[in-house]
Amino acid sequence: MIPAHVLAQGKTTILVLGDSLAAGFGVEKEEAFPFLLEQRLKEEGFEDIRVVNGGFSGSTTAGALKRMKWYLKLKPDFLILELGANDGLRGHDIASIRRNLEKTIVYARERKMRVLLAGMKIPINYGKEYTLKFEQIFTSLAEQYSITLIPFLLDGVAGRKDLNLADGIHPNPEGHKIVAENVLAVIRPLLTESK
Amino acid sequence: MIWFKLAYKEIRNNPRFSLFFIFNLSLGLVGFIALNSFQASIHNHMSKRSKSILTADLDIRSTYELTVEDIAYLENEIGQFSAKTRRINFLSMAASKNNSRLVQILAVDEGYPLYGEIRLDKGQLADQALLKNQLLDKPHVWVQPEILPALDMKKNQELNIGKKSFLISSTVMETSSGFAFNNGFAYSIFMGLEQARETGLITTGSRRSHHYYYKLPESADANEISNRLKNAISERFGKNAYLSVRTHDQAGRSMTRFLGYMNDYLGLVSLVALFLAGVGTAYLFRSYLAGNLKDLAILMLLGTQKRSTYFFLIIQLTVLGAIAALISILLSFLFLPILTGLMSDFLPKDFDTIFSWESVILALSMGTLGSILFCLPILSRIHHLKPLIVFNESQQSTTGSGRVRPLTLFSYIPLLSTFWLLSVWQSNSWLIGSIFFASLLGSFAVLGLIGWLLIVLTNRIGPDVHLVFRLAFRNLNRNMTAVISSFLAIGLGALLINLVPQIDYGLQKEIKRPENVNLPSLFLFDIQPDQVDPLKKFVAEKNFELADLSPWVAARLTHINGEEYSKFEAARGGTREQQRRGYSRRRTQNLSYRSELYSSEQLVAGKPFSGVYNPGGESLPEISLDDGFAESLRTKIGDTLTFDIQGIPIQGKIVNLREIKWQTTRPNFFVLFQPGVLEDAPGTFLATIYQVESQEKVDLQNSIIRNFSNISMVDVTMAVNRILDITGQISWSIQVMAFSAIFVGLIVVYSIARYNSQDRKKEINLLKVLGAGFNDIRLFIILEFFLFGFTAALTGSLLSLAAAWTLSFLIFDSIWAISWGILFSTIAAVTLLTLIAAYLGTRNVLKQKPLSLLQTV
Repeated sequence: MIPAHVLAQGKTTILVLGDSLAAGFGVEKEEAFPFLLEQRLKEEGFEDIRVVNGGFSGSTTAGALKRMKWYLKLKPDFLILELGANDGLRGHDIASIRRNLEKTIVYARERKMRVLLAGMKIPINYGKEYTLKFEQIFTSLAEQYSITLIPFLLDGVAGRKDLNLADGIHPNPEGHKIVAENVLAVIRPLLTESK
Repeated sequence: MIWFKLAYKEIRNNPRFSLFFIFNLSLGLVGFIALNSFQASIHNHMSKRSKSILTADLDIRSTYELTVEDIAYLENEIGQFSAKTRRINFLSMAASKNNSRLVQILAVDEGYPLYGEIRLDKGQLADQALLKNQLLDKPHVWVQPEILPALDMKKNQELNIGKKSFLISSTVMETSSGFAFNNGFAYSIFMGLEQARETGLITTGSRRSHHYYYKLPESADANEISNRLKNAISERFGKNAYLSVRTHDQAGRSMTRFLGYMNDYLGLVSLVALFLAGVGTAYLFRSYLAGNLKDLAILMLLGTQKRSTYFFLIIQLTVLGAIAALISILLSFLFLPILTGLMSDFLPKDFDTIFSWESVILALSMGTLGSILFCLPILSRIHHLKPLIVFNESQQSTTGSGRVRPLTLFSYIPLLSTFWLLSVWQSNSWLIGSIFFASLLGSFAVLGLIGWLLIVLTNRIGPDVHLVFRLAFRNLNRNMTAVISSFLAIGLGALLINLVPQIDYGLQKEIKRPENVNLPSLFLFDIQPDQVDPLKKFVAEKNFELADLSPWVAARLTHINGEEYSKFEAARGGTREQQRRGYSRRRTQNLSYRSELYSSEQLVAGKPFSGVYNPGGESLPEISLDDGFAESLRTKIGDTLTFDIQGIPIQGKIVNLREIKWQTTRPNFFVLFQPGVLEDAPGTFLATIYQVESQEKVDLQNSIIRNFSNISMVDVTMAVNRILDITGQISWSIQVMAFSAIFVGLIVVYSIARYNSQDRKKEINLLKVLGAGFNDIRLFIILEFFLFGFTAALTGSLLSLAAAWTLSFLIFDSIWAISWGILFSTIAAVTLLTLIAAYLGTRNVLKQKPLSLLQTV
């Protein structure tokens, strides 16, 4: 069912469990940040590394745990959890978003994965109260479980016309390069540590 | 002047021919004008509807607020416009004291909407005064009624949006533009644009769309302006501009598709009416000319030049054609309002009948020039006319020599090229117009061949056959030209008559809601696997049933038979754009799994799934494909497909193909896996709920959202009704068109048959003189007409099936269904009509005393 070469052993596997940002909505998969991240890591000497793009456009936190279990087949060492934006944009209940992320984090940690949580923000038109509570989900989870937080995944990209597609929310290829750097900055020390 | 007098005299001297000629041509032209006018009316009606969907002629949408300079620049490109307004849309959280809910804000400005309307509760129309008084000047909102129970609120209470609170002064029951989007996950709230600014939500960092709406003058071409604007935008704002332009044409996508069908279809139908009339006219003229060759020969003997003879005949045709055209225009004037009046029950409320002046002008030119064009091949015979025929007893020998002369062939060119251009013009496509034209020509050839074969075969029949049969066969042979002409006319008539309802049948079958199929009321998305059981239970507690529960796993097709799919796709050919489009469409697939087929599916090849997949076994998982999808992938049973399911490749083997009835609105999938493969794959579930009354729907939706906040719902009834409304309107017009085409066609066939039988006067009387019995004569005439009427109808009808298939394939995206009922009725009706015409036409002749024969000789 799964071609053998895919299950090659001996690699450090980084799983990006994400939404359209990871999936590279509107750009080629090779232009999306997970692929760029792998390239950048290899350039920096982390030869034996594989980044698995578990991005799926439109996905919400509700399916995170189920998807996490699917990827166990690949035995990931690192999990970059990049979910929640679609929940926020659809105005989902804050408590349930937090609960879903929490379950996934706990599950991954129990399986000895190191978890990086990608912080998200939603546009201010959703109102101050909701946007604030939404942002706090990520900071509070990171604090509670002492996991690494990527403060804001789209830092330096969000709101910039030259770095986004015409829809104004999805990064273009140039934008993805910056996102990859944002992630790299956070994951680099962790990889060096575990070398 | 002398020629006009002569022509007038000639028309008066041949009242039967003149009347038939005018009658026949008028009918065809009435059909043509009526069909064309209906086409224009429908176009007008649809464009009014699409304008009210967009609320404007032109909509410039931007993700940020345009500066005054930007607007001036764009308006300069638009040129003249008669009104403008703005709207800002954004999502936000609306909060009551205890509750909050995602809503869609529609912040509107003075003048909104430029087209269409907003209806508030109790059917009150929101006019400009009310809009200004309530929304623009005060912090009031109009909300979609579903919001109230969702927030536990009532009218005249206050809700908070951003920094501001608003009074709910009314509920919006209906807007012609619909509720923008997201029925079920974000209800709409209307507020004044300046009021919306005070929420503090329209600022840097908020995600919204700014719409700039324009109403254009009647004469303006919105699409042309839109193209101009697009160029101007990329010039000023760069290629990756956050600006887009839409015209009302693009607003109702599904409607435009049907509108396109309708236009092409009606255009061709009106040509069919015209062509039938042309064939009838040419046939009448042929018979007339055959009867008057001697007169012409006498004129020539008296020293008239050939050129003058042409001139004389052409004037005669022009006069007759012009009379027919004028009559038909007059009739159309009367006919259209009456028809609209008769059909007022079926017509949409605000339907206006437009009299298409374009088609009037066309009718006039087709009446005059057209009749000349149609008769030109016959006129060309005069070129070979020898004055000597005056001394010749037989008329047939000169008209039907059977030898085709180059001039005769040449004389078809003007007619054919005009008709070809008309076909292209009416169908709005070189390809479709040319194919329509070519198929008509091809049908002509096939009909001619079959007619000729009929004569040759019947001529072979030996002397042991009953005398009546022999007489009938002999007659067919003797009147070869007349028989072949009539055969062509009747066969073509049957073809065209059958063609329209056949296409109609296929179209209706496609766009009509399937009978006795229940449409679901709600479609539920994003159900998480662990929510399936609780949701089932929850819905059951509300006395509904969660139906059609289907797993949904997103995947990308990566390999076919181990070959990379992108390479496979590149080998497909076509333009790069087509390739790219097709590639992305086929590459991303939604997979599902289940062991049994739905009632809306049927296995068309291969074997059913063997059961649950055994991961320890040797074999690959089994895959079932939609047959059309398999065809577009160019795969067959036994091929392997590899899907990337969120980073993990899964390979499977195609074991069967299914045919899916998509109209049933169930969750159907192109690709199904056997159970036991995808259960662990990350996915969600789709489901439907049937038979929810509209008053219960809001409650049900709200309670589901309260308990399962991530589930999205779409109110299918609303979406389906919208489409049904449009298709319903199209169905009636198709029926009207088909009916008028049949009517015109039958009348033409009748007049040809009648005229033809009148031609037989002499033969019949001759037989009587020779002592043939009344019954025998009647029998052989009936037999003769039956024979060629039936064969012609059969051939024509069969040809029409081929034509209908081709047309459906080309124009209507392969919508195709044979109606055997229509086919057999056409054959029976045309044969019967030929017989009735023959009987009516020969009845008087049969009654005549043979003496009249002696008088005419």
